[in-house]
Amino acid sequence: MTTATEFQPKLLGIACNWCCYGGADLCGVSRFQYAPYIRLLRVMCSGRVDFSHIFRAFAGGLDGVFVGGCHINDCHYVTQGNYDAYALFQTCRRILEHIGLDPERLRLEWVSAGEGVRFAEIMNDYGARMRKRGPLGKAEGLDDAELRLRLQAVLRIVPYLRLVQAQRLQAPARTEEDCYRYFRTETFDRLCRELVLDVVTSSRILLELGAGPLPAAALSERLGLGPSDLARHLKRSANLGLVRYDMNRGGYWAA
Amino acid sequence: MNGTADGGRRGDVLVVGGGISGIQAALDLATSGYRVFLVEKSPTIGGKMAQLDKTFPTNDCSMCIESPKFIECDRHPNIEILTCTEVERVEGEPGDFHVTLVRKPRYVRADRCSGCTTCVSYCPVQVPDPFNRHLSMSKAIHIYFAQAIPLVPYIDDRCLYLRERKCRICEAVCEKNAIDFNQRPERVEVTVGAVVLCPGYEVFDPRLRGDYGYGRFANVVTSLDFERLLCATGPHEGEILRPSDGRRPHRIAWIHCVGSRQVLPGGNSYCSAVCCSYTQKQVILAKDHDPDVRCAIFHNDIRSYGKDFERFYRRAEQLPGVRFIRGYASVGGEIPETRNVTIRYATNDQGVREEEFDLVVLSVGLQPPPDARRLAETFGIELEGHGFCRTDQRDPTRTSRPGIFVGGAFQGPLDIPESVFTAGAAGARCGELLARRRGRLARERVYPPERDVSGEEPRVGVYVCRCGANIGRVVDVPSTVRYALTLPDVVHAEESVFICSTEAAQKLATSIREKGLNRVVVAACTPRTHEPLFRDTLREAGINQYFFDMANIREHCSWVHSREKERATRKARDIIRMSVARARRLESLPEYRLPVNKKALVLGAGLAGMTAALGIAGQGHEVHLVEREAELGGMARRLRRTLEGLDVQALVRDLAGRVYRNPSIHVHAEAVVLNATGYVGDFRTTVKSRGRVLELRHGVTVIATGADEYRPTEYLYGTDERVLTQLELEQRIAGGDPRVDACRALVMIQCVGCRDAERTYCARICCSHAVKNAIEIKERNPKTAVYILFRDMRTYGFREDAYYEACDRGVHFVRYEPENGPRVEAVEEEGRPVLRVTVADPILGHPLAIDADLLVLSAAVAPAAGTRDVGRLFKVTTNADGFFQEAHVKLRPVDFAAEGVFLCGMAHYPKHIAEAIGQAVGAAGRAVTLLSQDTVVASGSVCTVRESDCVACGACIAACTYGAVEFCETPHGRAARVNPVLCKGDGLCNTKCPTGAISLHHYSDEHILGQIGALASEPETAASRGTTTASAHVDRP
Amino acid sequence: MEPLAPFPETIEEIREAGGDVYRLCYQCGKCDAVCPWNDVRKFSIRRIIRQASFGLTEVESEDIWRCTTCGRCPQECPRGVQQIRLGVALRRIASRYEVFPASARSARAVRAGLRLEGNPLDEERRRRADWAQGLPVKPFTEGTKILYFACCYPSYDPRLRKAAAATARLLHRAGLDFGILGERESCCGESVRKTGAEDLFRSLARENIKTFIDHGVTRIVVSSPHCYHTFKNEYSEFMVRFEVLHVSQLLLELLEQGRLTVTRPYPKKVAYHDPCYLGRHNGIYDPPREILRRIPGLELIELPAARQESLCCGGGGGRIWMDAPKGERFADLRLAQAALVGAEELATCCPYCITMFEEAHKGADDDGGTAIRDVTEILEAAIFRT
Repeated sequence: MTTATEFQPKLLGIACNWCCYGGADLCGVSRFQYAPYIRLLRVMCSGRVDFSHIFRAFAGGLDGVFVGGCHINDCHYVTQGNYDAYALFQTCRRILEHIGLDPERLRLEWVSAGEGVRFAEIMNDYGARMRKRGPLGKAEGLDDAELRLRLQAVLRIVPYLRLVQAQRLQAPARTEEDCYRYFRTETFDRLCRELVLDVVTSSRILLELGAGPLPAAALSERLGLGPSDLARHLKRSANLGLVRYDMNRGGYWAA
Repeated sequence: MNGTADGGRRGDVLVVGGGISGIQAALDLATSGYRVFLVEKSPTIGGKMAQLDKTFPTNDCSMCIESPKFIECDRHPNIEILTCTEVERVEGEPGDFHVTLVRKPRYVRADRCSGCTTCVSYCPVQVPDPFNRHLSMSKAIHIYFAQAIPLVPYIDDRCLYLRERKCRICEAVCEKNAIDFNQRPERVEVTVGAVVLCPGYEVFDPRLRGDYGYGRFANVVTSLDFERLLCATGPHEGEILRPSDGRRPHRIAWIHCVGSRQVLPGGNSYCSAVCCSYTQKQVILAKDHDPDVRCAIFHNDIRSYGKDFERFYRRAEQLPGVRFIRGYASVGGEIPETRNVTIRYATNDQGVREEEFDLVVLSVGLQPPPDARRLAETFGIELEGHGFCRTDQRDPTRTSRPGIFVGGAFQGPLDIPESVFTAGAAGARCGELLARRRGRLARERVYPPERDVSGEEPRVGVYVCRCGANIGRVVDVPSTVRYALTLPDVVHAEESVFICSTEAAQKLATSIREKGLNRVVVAACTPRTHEPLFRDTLREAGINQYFFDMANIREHCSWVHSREKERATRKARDIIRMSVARARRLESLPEYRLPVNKKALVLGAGLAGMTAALGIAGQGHEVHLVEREAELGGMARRLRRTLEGLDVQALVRDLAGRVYRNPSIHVHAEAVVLNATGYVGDFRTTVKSRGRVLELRHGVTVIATGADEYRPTEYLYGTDERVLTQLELEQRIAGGDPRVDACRALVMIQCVGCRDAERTYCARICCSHAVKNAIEIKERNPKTAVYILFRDMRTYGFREDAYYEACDRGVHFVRYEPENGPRVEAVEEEGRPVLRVTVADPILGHPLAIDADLLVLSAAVAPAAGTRDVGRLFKVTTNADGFFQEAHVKLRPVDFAAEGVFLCGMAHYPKHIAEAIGQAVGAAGRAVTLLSQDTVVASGSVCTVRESDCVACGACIAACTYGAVEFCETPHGRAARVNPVLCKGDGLCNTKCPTGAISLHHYSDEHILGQIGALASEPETAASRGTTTASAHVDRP
Repeated sequence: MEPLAPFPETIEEIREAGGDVYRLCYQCGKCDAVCPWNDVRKFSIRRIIRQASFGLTEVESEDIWRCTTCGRCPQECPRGVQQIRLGVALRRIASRYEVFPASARSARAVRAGLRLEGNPLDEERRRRADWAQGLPVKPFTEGTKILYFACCYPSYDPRLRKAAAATARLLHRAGLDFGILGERESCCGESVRKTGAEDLFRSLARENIKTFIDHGVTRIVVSSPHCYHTFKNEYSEFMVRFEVLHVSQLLLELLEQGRLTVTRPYPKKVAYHDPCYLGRHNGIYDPPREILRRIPGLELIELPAARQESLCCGGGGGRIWMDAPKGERFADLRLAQAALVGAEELATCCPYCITMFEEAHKGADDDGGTAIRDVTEILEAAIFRT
């Protein structure tokens, strides 16, 4: 029995109607017991899951997000949305890592409507891990304000993320092994870094500057970035016409 | 339903028996425009299925999947349910039967009773509850079960007043004056055009022969008793407690084939076909209830011959503490002190063992309904040797009397899906008979006009279901109801014992009207089974059905956190809070009425395909029959006769002839499907036939693409011409091949290419096929020694008799274990070249070496080569074994999840000819049910584009492989537009749209983020909004 | 293990001997599960059936001589395999080849006596009626209504003569017109037939049938269920029918008609044992019990395995002439059961059962344990002053 003081993670689960949600149902039908941390939300296809859902959940202070879909090639729809869910998952994990959150907090599993036992096993394992991991942010040594800013930086570029995700970050071919292989490649790492993570940082910079101009020193301190990295980002943002340097005032402005 | 004895009310079809098959037949017929009388002799519809806890192989809750159909029947304008009613006389002929029904008194007036059950609580007479197999007590006046239709109590003959003219308390306490002891049996005259018999089956009663100690030893129960013990609505609310002392059994034994597969007097020679799988289900559930329970299953063959059965068997077998022991056990005796039961069984090596068990479950078989003889006389139909209905091999729905059809287990032992589609098939036959009068007597379901709530603030009603003890025992329902009242926009909340019962559903509708609700949340079980039911209730209540959301606090809460009541209650609150947040944001959605093209396309012209085509054409619809080969007949062209002696070639010729002669069937032979688009009601399929390419338009599609015979690589097949497959042997026998007759010894090996690592399933038909050929060989030359090497003989149903006959004719059956399978080598014996088959006989405890002149392999039935492509073309899925996957294993066995597409025959799973035909007629019936509609309704949950926000990037178009989105010119310039008819509502495009211009109704970001917000935010309580309430039933303005 | 090839010749031979009923077997093992042998040692009738079906029977083995033909397995067999028929067929083959394992030799030895003297007990034919000396028993003559066929054991065996005497007194007390054929009668041949001596059985049967017909016998009352079985079910193979009554049936009839009246109480706890050939083989379970119930003071108690499930005494199928080693005797188990339920006396009505039980009783260390009685003896005690 758990004591009141013990940390109880609050987890969101997004399950596709045809497989994972069914698996969770069967799990219930079969009376397999698991820790009561998760709250399931039903979508028709795991391909419906979006950046905004995941990062809003974290922004809302939830300690973990679980996404459950049909096994690869078993998607109920010819759109095979679970490939997209997988790609999204890969990107989001890297973003989480990038903004200093444990990527384990986001979990994706394929659970068929027949895998009641498996659903319970996953829930127990995930629940235990998250309980050990501790509360979002605190466990990672971030104070609430900082945590909010970082997630904010991601949320404000969701439209952009959707675009690159759809056009640049998909696996080349829709076969199981191709897909799994691709997301382990250098290529994907590079693309992800350049097209997503850097932009997240820029987004964060703009957030900081939103309040008013800041000298480089202050920026590098707040973002915990080395001068050279910072310079790179600022240059990039400047080229995009997002920020400009004001000689007289000696600070960076949001354009 | 006032059963006045007027001159006889007119209907189209009389359905006898209100079990799942009767219900299915009634619904299909009623929906396709026939008026149906559904007659049931017990006080409610539901039949045996209602008594089951779960159903194999999915372990779906039996009542949960069946009860929505009760309500569908109850609400259907073309179905009149007559319970407590039996058929007394049937006169007339097809198209015009005059039927006399007798309604037994239930002593409670359905038209007055409100189902409040006050009478029940006051009734002084405790009686064993028949629904719970007498394992718990009930009252002389009681409701048969919570979901009963009609939900009206009945008084059984153990009532004090009926016995001794005393008491009448119920009469005194009933506020509606619904009790009426003056009721007498009354005659009801009806005239119908056809009859469907679905009287179902009876379970074998082991008491009669007295072996197994049933009735003598308290802790010996039947499998049906055990179903009730397992069930949450059972005697102990789902706790398995043994009868003698109410303690939990730690060692449970199941004994197979009780009353089945025995030629003993009082037994049944046939195999009951369902017991193996239901026993495995009970084992799995017993382990779920108590992981430490030790289970032993005593059997002589495990017959997992059905779709996904073998996997199910493996699952049960691999559970810890579960032993499958080969051999029938005998019940030794009862140990006086403990009331435990001892069991004796033979082992291959260690002789006879005696073992003690806390509880023994007898897996009892199925037999004809007790009143089968009377039924036969009343309806003037013949019974077959075992007392089931005699049916025509070429069409298992036909009885010996024209116009009277049979569905379900009265055909012989069947499982639920078979009962469902055979019943559908029987219905379809009625449809053919009465095609001309379709719709004459039918009535449209009328809903009240939909209230426009667009102007209103959300007014949410929350209904929390106890589901008997299923939820109530874990989740603190009253406090949850009070909590719900504190949520924003919630103006009403209440609890219910079974929100899915008709009575509750009706109350729901009224309370929606009275409280002026415009959003409804039902916190109960999974939406996957009950959502349609409640949506319908919203329509009844006059508000748009999309204003409904379901909070799953059973499968996802009370059942999975049953030992953590408090945290489960907290979780239930969260789930409800999310659901309310969603409900508040829900919008009214239109459903699309699409015109239905009245033609059908049947893919594959084997027996199943041809039968389906004829069935559909028989009801007046045009059919395109598309066949890959030049000749019709498919696999059947390679068969000669069935086990039952049916001449297959004659059948093929007959069907093909009727197909070609039928003006409404257009045969496209040597055809391939190039492309398939469209949707239910309006499919467009491009076919290339004999060089011509044509686009066929049709409203429904039936897939009957059959299956292939596995080409063995084992046992010298292909390298030695003395090694054949069963099909090849059959053709040789047909061709009178002298080498077959001259054969001194012939060996058959079963399970070649199935039940192995690659093909885990059982191919179902091979055992019977082997037995058939073996008998034929013995008939031709009794001197030929025939050996069948098998793992489990799976001659299920009446085919068991053929297994017996084969034994009687001297065919040798040798069991082998896969890890120690037969070995084959070509050798010379006394100058004679033979195939030496070596196999270990477990009983002999010694390997046998058999010198065979011919070796016959029972090669698996494998999915047809093109199955996956067909699947991709028609957007339907296959199961793990590569056969097509039906929409619901139990209750939608011939439908695909994709609307308007149906399946039958071997494309679904290997099956015998009669089964394939039955299923094909069933599929035809389902197809016609749809074709008989002028329009079909498409879901309102589709995507839509806010054109002003669309940047015409085309990301959505790229994402939608349904081709539902395309560009069009708009005032705002080029923009994407969704064809709601093609949109399947998966919402993938939403995640691609940079501007969020495209959005999926009912699952929009607003909805999803709303739920997420509600979960994240600490409960927004009404307290914060200044109002609180203690009572769950006090409504706030 | 070297694989064995099926042996068609033997298969054919078994078929000719009438044993091919094995073919129906689907190896469920129910026969083994109910076989009493498995209470005392490992024995598999299923294996014997299996061997036979491939012609791989070990004709010289002890095993084919074990079956006591108690009838449990055929009664339970879901496939209707007639195990007894198979067993007898195998013994016929063994007899044909004159191969007898040690344990079966004694069973073979009795054949000479049966052939010459008409009894298996090595007694002289002319002494067959000696038991009746000093008893109100007359020789059967033309016109005598009932033939009392005492069976070999009651005729010769000192212990069983008591039962025969009791029967005679009771019939006489009831005023029945009955007689015996004495040296003119021969053993019914039931058991020797089960040992495979078919020809001997047939000659014995013919002798008896001839004698019966010559003397105008129509109604036969027997003490032994084995005689009952043979006369009723097997002599019909010779196209003759006699009205056969087991003594328990007749005595009950007489009690019901009031031609016998119980006068003296018999204050004992008595357990009744169903003989296989009376119960399972011929469905007579109640008359003996009914008789005991009618005796004042007698408390009738049931044994653990009663009626259809009755435990064999071990004497059937010719086993009466063979020795089972200590610890393998069913009779010992049966006596233990009787003691367990607290029976002072173990009653039955079959000479074989009594013989087996008395032996077990002698063997038992606790002297004066449960006493063995024939139902007729108890009834006699309840009617006559002694």
